[in-house]
Amino acid sequence: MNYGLMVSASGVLTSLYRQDVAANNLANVDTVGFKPDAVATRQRDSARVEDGLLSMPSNRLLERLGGGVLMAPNQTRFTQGAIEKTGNELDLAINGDGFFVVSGGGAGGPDGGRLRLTRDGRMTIDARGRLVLAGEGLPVLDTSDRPITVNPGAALKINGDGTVMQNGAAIAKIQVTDIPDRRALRKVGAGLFAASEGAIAARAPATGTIAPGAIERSGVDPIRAMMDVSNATQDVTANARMVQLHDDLMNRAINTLGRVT
Amino acid sequence: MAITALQSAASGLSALNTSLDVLANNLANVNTAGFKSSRANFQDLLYVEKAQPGNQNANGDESPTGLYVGLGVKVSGTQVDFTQGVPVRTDTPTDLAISGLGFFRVKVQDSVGNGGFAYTRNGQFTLNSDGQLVMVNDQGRRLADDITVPQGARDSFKVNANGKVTVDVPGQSQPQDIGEIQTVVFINPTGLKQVGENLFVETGASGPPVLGTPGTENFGEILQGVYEASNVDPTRELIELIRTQRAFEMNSQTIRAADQNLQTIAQLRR
Repeated sequence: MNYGLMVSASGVLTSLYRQDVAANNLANVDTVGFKPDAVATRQRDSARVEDGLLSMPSNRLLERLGGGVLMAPNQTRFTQGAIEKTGNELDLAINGDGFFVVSGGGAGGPDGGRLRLTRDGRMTIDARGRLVLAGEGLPVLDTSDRPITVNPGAALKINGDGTVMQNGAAIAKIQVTDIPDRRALRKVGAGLFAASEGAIAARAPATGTIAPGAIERSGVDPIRAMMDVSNATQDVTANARMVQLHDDLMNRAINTLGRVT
Repeated sequence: MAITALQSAASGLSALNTSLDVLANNLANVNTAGFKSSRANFQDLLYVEKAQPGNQNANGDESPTGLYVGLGVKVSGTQVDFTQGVPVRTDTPTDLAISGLGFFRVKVQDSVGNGGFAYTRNGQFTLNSDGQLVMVNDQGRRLADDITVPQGARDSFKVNANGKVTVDVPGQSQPQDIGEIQTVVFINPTGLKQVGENLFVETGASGPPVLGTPGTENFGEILQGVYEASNVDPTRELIELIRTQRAFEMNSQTIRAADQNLQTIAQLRR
């Protein structure tokens, strides 16, 4: 079989995958606290290396070709999004490193951990008086991993260090944490990140400060995301064209070169 | 597959369209007394796992991160912004405003609001033919505190900061007490349901209404001769409108790009 056909096909497949990721970034261009994913691809080793057949003789020319391209694990870019004032005192943004900690989000998930991290600080008070995320209603935790219950009705003020003030007294401190290896974080939707219990246990107070009355805009750079989408299309077209050329080549080999006169 | 990109982009278009609807309603109510602006909150959808972190490659190395593809965006909910609107002085004695926390309580049909009550920040009241204090709209919703102004005492109608209502009666030296306006706070006002006519009704998420005297504890004071203007900030809304429209355009480009890919693939075999 034509070796190049597979190489070009892998190009089409990875380009489609790149476009999927870029499309998700672009769809979330206005999602508060969203962090874009960066796509990575890697060269696939030639069949001999991949199958561990190093001692076998091989075609030196093919060896140099490699085996095409593979999807590599994607990484989330944790760059700071723009902080925008909203005037709503329960909108919190983190300026710098760190995440809010919330409980729930499917207890005993695949990783066994019940805590989730998020950069989306749009909060509200639920009917039980707890400070919760406005979207999913998950309770926001204080520095001792407890939900924060506030006095109903009394004006609420949140300071830059996360202290929740009511009637001039501090009633709780919102936890802002960071984990040493951010690659352990996994997106689970709704702006939440999950991590293994070990990674969660290794967390430490973060250096970021809270900007009250503000939200952190999506970290997606629309121009970059747009270019990723159109680049992927170009690459699909180019690789698909190569597939057609390989096909053409085989056509000639079979029907012209191999014709029995 | 390009289908995922198509769906992500379609979810973006749908969410942005909802956001546009919310913005349009805010802008339409830029001059509605007591109106509170809303915003559509976005959140990312689930992620498809293509490879788990910790997968081993041929050399036995573990990959530190996994391979996930997101499926787009959705509107997680709309959130009402209860910040104070600008008080506008009219000197009409029946125009009232609450400075701070609280809602006026008005009577509605049981089918509209729980217990036959609805709540509003719109303090533009008037007197009906029976002298009762009612909202100025075609429904004439009655203030639940049952304030009835006696004939001829209309001009001397006074409401103090604590909601005490008095009128001057000819022939009496002291003003006569005719009732008290109480206001209501909720533990979670963002959980209230909007039912139109500037009214909010109680839900399970808002918590039960807490009745109190204005100007005490957390309850805001009542201002007379003033109404609370809409808290919609037109500049902010227009900027959001521009942002939403551009994001919409970009997502429609994704659809075209993904469509082009599908077309290319469909034509692979000649």
